[in-house]
Amino acid sequence: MKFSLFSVIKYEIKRLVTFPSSRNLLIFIPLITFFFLGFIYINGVLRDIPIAVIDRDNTQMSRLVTRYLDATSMMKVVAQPDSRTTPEEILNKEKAYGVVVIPKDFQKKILTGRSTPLPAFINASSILHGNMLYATLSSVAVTISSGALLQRFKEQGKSFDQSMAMVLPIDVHWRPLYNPWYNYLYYLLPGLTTVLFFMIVFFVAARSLNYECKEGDFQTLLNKAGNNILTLVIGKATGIYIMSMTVYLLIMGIIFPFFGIPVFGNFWHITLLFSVTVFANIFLGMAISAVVTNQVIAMDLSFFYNSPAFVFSGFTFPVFGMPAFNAFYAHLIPYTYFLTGFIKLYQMKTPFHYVFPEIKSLLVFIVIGFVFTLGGLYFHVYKLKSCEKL
Amino acid sequence: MRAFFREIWTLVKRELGIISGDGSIILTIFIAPMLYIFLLGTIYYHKDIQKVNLAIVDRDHSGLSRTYIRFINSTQKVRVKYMPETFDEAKDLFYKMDVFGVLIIPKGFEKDLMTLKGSGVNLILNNSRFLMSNEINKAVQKVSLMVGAGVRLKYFVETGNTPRQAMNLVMPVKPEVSFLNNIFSNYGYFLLPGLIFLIIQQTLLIGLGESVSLEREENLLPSLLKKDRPVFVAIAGKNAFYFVLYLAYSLLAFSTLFPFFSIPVKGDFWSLALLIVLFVSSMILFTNLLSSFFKKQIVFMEIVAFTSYPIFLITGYAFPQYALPALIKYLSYVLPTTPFMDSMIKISRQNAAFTFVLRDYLILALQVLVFYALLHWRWNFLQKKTTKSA
Repeated sequence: MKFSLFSVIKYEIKRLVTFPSSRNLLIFIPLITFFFLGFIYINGVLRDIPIAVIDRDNTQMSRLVTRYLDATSMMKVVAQPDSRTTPEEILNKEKAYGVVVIPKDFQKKILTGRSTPLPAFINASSILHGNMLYATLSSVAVTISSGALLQRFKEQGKSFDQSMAMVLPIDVHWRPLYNPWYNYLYYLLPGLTTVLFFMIVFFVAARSLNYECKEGDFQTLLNKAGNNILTLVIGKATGIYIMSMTVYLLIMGIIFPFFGIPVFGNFWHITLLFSVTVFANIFLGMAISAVVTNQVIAMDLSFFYNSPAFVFSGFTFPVFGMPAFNAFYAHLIPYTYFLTGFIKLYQMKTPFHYVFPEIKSLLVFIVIGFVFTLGGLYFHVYKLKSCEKL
Repeated sequence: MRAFFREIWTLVKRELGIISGDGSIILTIFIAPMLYIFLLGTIYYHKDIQKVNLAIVDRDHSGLSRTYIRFINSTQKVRVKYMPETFDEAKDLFYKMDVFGVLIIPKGFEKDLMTLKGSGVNLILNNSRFLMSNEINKAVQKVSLMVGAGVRLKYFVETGNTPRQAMNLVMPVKPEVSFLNNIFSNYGYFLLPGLIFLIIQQTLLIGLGESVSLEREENLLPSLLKKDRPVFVAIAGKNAFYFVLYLAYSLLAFSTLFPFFSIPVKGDFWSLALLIVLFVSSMILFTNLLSSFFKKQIVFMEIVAFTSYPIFLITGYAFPQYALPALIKYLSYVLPTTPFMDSMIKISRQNAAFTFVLRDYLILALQVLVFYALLHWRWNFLQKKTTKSA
């Protein structure tokens, strides 16, 4: 079995390197797609979201507020339209994502100890802008209020510390860990590259057996494997694994450093998690390949199964927020488990035992895929006797 | 004219023959759109996340700290799931990703607030996924400001102000933020329209592209690009069925799917109808052009399967156009998706006047002309080649 196994591995690697389709999948698609995705988010952090300010007060304080809004890193005042224009018109016309209205008597009210509203209208069609503008506008309003309160307490003879304790009785020291810069490149690129990586692995595996029936020489391959299906399956899976790990090295060794994605965790722990997930995808792909002999249909099924993986993984929208049926479906995709484990290891730098639950789930996929691959092949080869009959 | 329509009808029948004989195309254009829209659309059925888990380490165990915790727990999107005694226990929950934030209330919290010294709380957030950390941060900040305002209110009343005066003094500037076009700033409202049309677009791209590449793979081009058949007729006949089908899908999206997912459609019907006609036409011509360079159906599918994410991400739907690198921004306008998504949202959600989307319509119309010219040239070339080899 030992020599037969090496022979099958060698055969599979040679096939993957020379077969144009797997060459596309393992070399050109990752190179082009991963770099392209990285360049989309090359600017990383969102800055200077365009907003408009309608100043109905026209006082020193209202102008100060406008300057203050413009001075935040998140917002840029791109227009100060006529006060008769409606916010909806401004949002469409000025390409602004938010409109702040400084009402009449704004300065007068603050100076005479009366509160005044600071209305703002945010175009929440884009939730990204909605959240960011909401947070920044709230913080600007709190800062202006705090300034006014500080002044009042100072006038009452309180020290700075006493005044601050009144202005902000509960000071929230918040520490966003792992991506404190809110950098979209760091947030999305690891998820996007890995989901596409596993899709590539799945696609390669999904054509690995049915290809042999249609375009290859299944009998010669079976002879190489010593007429042993187990050797054939393990040999093919190992060959695909070796080639897939070159793409893994591209991600971890070139793409991440090139785009400056910080990796905090232990490289070998991460490699182990990747390896388990790669095998899960290989065996599931091979199972499809062993059962569905039409290559195009096998690819269709692989595509339908894999393409929603990113959305279902909980990366952008959590699995616990999904209805029960969707949450159940999310758990049928290996990537969902991988992603949680990956974030724990590479970003949170957790000890390895924290990913044991994910590893266990991935092992279940490996077993299921392996059993179906063997079953499918056994049925096709020994019951139907000939590949051509498929 | 009659002969023209007869010829078109002949080609439509021919295309239906190709579709009915190819399981992959059937799956892609008839089953996949509905399946994907159901699977992915229902993820956001609740529109937004319900409860994000937070752990609180209460080192004060006072009446005020318990009230503070109750306030946080009663916010809409955050649930205080665990109350660990020590920070190490909280860290364990954090590493397991059972919670996305840990709030530490210090000893002396109540005493410091009551004696107007002020107190600080520590909030540690897992910022590997923005949606969850944002919700926790928003909730804790909001409750802290509210409790702080309560402390100030008490102080102002005790120092001789009437309750009404005290209320005015508590918060000199009150932000009044209104979300336009997505009043609850829901994730589902934001993402679903884009997702539905991405599915429609990608199934058209793959299904029609498979059909065109199959023409080359199975040497069917001579019967499509006959010497005596004008290229214009061949293009119209080959694509008429897809045009009608995808026009129907797009209208179905606005008339049935959007209402099913409770997404309001505000815009004028004829503006949307014209937009859909331009989008589907442009997409069909683009697909024909692209796929005519592929000699094998499966290779086309393998490559195009990886385009969904990049196409969606450069449209400006999920990440704003102004934050994209210039080259990618211009590249995005080569695809029909970018102007379509932009104007679809402006019309259907913001009820924007036609003048605000005119530029997008013109870009789509220009794409139709350019893609048609290129396709005509390409098929003319293939027609000559086919005739020569025949």
